Amino acid sequence: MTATTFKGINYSLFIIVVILTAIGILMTYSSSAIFAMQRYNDPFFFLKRQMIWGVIGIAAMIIVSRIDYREWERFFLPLFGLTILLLILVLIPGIGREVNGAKRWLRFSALSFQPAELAKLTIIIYVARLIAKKEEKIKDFMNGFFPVMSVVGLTVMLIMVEPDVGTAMTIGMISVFLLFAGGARLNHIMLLGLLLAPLLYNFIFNAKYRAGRWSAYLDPWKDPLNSGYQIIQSYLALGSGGISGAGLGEGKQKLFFLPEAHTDFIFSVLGEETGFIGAVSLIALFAILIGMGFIIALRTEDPFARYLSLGITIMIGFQAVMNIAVVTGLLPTKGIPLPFISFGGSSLLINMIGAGILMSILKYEGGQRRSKKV
Amino acid sequence: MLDKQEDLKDIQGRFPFLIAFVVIAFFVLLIRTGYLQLIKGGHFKELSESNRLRSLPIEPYRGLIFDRNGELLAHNVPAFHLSFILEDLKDKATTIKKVSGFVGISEKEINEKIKAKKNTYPFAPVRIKENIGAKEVALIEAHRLDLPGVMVEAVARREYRHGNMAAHLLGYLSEITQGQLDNVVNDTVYPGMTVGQNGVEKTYDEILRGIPGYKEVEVDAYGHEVRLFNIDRPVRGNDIYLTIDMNLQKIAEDALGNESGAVVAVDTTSGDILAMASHPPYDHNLLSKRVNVKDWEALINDPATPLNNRAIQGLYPPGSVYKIVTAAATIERETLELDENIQCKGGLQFGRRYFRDWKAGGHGNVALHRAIVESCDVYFYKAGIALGVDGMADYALRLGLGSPTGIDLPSEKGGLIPTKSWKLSARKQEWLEGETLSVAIGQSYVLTTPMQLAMLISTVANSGLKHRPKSVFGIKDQKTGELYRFPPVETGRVEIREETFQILKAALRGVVNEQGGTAGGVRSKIAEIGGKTGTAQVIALKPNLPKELLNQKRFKDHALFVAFAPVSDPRIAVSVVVEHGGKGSSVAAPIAKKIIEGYLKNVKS
Repeated sequence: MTATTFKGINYSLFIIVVILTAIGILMTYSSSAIFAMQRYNDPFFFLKRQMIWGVIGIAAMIIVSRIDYREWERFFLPLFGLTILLLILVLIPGIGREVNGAKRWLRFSALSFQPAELAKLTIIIYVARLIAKKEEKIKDFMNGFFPVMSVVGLTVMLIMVEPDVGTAMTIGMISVFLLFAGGARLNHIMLLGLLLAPLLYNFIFNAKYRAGRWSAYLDPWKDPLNSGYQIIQSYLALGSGGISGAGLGEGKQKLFFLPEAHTDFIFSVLGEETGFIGAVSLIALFAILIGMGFIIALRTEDPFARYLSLGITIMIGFQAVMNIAVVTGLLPTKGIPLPFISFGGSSLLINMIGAGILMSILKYEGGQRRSKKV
Repeated sequence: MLDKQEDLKDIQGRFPFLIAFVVIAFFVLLIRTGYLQLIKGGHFKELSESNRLRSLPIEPYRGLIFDRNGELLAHNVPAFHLSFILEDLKDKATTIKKVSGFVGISEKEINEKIKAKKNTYPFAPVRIKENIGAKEVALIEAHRLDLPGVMVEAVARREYRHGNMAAHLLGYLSEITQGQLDNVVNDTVYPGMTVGQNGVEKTYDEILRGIPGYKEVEVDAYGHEVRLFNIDRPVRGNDIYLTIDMNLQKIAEDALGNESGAVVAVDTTSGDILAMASHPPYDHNLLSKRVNVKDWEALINDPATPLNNRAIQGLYPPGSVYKIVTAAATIERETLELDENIQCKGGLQFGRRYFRDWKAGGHGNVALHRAIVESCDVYFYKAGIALGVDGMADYALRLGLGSPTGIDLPSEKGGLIPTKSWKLSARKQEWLEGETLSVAIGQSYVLTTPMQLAMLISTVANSGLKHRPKSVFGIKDQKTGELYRFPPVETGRVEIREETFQILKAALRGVVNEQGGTAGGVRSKIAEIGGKTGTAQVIALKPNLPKELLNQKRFKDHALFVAFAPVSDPRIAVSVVVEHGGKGSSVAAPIAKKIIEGYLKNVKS
């Protein structure tokens, strides 16, 4: 692969991220305007916030793409410390902002930030760095696999108590995928899964609303006005979109029928308004983005860069797949946002920083490559 | 470091699994989306169209308003509004035609109402006619099935039980405006909600209005609610108790009668407003029913400005009432000795102008006390010259004139106390010395509100202790049932010596109780009253108008009177302004007397 190809990927990566963000802002407005009008007397309430975060995110992406990705390794410890500090701070009453019983946000004037989103990036850097450093040792349970998973486990626990099960699960899964790719033994991973199974079971069926989600997942029509309500409304939205959709802004489901239309269920609104064509195009954009991520990971020589790029790719890919799977009723609802699209500033910012790191890897790793030859 | 080759082999071993996983995942998503959108699309679309779930706001029960004795002043009565839900109208033209016949509103008007309604949420009812009668309700309900999308909303309407009495103080309700919606950040209001638009209904709106509820309902094909499956109940607003005493208010309103003007009565011990009347009044019951555009325009363009609360928004020259200020400044600055006699021959030549006294023959030799009692203009011309305009302004401001009193009512005006620098910056003109003479007797640029004058006399009665006036006595918390009383707000002491107030009060007592006092006619058997008359010239600067014009009411002087009682232990302070009433002593003073006697009689018994 030549430097020009890399440059080409670099540009298209940037463009795809900007397109996805633009779609996100557009859909945020379309899906939230009327709700925002009724609740906040301001149809642009969510749009304004998402636009501000979009601008911050693009700036962050450009800056990050010009910083050598190895700096993240160098400054890992302070970053990790900050992440843990913020995760603890958010749990302290009075500092963390509580919404619907969950303490997930730190507030800075009009904008709120979720430390759990930052934790995604921090953990990816952490795991990538350890795999790169330990190399073969990762196969060893006591010296490789176990210590890594303990740190990940601690972070996940902190997020679990907020509670933010979706993000906790995302971080856990990213780590497992990364370790798998990094050569961890399959039986170690399976052992972990076995150990976590009762915990997970307990978690799903203990809290009443989560159990409701489970039964709603199995048959939403059994209780269409309560636990099955959201997913049914999502079906109706997607279904009424048909091939070409109702047209932008013309969707009806978002008008109070579909809860969380501008956050977790934004894909339903997109499906209703732009139809199958729009939905497939969005899925294709994600596929291209993830494909590029894999190419970068496969073609880099520096192990840290490889696992870092792989981790970011998994972060975006996992969330996109999970979110769409939930919205289309393939998985029970879990509260995972659609990267770049769902309303939510911290998620957008972290995903864009992730994209910036991918571009940085292309720039700095690609530069080295020219002298050598594969 | 491990061998690069081996490292790569490892990746080559595991990466394909990951990639395969992702490819399969995306493939599944594609198939699922296609299944939902293409194969099941028609079915879901149908279901979506019959989706009749709505989220509707529920208006909270607005808190009641009582007077200080617990007399109910404002409550809510049921009313019926005819509304359309545009999305549910089946045959618009026919429906409009039928409805037009049922409730007597032209088709054109209905169409206009539909057009005017914009910027709202889907399925929001559009009001076609408010307050329809029982017969009309019955007609609509009987034809319910032929009129999909037509609904009769039963809502609470505000009723003020004492007609127009205290209309300005109470205020009225109307639909929240876009501007007001924009200014509220939380969800305690929604488009179409009625909120307070004037008086205490406005200042205490947040306390009175409660918190709206929301209900999620399923409606049938006609737009009628068939099932309720989630309700977030509204929270009732809190009741408020006003400081006014409705009996005293009635005395004030009756005494003012058909005259234009304002009356303010204040409890000198607390700053509580005991009565506040502004005439002409407006019909706040009618306004709260929502008037049509034509009536509204007539009301706001009425030359008599009935919507103005003259007590706090009316700006009047205080006339001789202002002599209290000039006298206070004279005593404090010792610009004239207390027993220094001024000879009054019925006027004073100053520069090229002759400044007349109201008494053509003059008052003879008068010192400060008699000058106040008889309201001698010439004495105060000289006192004014000695003080200068800024000297008088200094004391006017100390006594609270020239700025809002801070009463808990919307849009209070501040008035104007002229100074040399004010004229230079506002009018770009030098101060003329002759104007100082006019200022000394409360004419020229001096403008005050009846509210300020009431607080002026209250402060004098209290020997300098100032209160912030308030119109609300307490709030009854709906949750606990407890009445929280607002304590009096003292805003400090005026920087004027105690002895000065004693001299002033003795003179004000004399105005009513001494031989030759200008308000001798209102001497009371119940209590000793102290006061000051005022006659504010409306055409002071146009003396050349023809006689027939001068006799017209609109060119007659404003009559003013401020008073407090009892002189020895003040309890009540009153200010009265009667527009174009003529002399303060004969028109305004008797009104104040009635109020003072009405109050003290009750308090004593």
